[in-house]
Amino acid sequence: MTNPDELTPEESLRLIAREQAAVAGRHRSSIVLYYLPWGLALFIGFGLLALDQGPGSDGPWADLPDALPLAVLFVLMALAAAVTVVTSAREARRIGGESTRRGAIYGAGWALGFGTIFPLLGRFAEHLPEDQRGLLFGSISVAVTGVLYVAGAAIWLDWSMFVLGGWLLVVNLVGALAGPGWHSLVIAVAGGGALIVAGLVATVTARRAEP
Amino acid sequence: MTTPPDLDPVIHAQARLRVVAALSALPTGDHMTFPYLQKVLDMTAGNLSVHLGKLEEARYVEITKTHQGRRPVTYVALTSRGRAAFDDYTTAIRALLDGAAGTEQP
Repeated sequence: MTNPDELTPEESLRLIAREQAAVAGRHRSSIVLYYLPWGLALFIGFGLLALDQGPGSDGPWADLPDALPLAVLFVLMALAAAVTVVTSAREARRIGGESTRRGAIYGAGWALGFGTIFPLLGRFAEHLPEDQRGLLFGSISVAVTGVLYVAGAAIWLDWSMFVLGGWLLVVNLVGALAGPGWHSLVIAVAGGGALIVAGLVATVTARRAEP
Repeated sequence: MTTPPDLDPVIHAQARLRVVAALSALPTGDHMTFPYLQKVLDMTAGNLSVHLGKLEEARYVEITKTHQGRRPVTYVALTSRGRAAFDDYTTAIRALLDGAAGTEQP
């Protein structure tokens, strides 16, 4: 009997592997859109702050307009947040169910966390000298981000996310202990750099999974 | 070659095997929208509907029609029965391959 639809066992296994990889690969290719924009925002934003603060020297490393580093950091973070929202909306048009509900609650957790912690920091910041004020906001924001990544790892059982969150928490502490300018430099290079690497690693594994 | 009696005829057909394999990549509790499944498999809507109909008849997939805001959405997911059937199918295929490899060797 010749049936064009007839499959050999080898063909069956190949088809199964191909379709499973296609779904997993499409999911992994969105992960880059969660990590890369935030990595670039931290790298460029905190990089400019470090240049302005000149860690280890008496003055700035580069003469930048006063408001420029913080303005760039906030604009890039707003853009990264927008990319995150658009990406999760796009994912919700593809896949629904438990993962989407987990993502929605997790996203609300971020908004609620930062929405309440920033005013709280503002309450104490008025009593601090200016360089310590920046360090307070910078170090607590990165610490909250690290904790939320670690929590995300528990939600999605994702060890790479745990490593990323744990890394952010440790380098954040090291930078904060070293002092204001150093913290900016450490977060730009080790924090932003780690997020950029995480995004690129996700892209490479997604490409490899594509049939 | 005819279909060996121990392979599930609902799954052992190229198009339906692809549908079930793609759906099996999602964790339990998740479902795919119809247009996304169509895109992943590169099938026409009509063709996919026919195969989903057969899978639904066997109670291997669950098709849910709902609304996201005002937009109608159709979700497709493997049922636990469908997931078990797919697992049995892959086990049977692997056993066939192992058997074939075994007989080829002297």
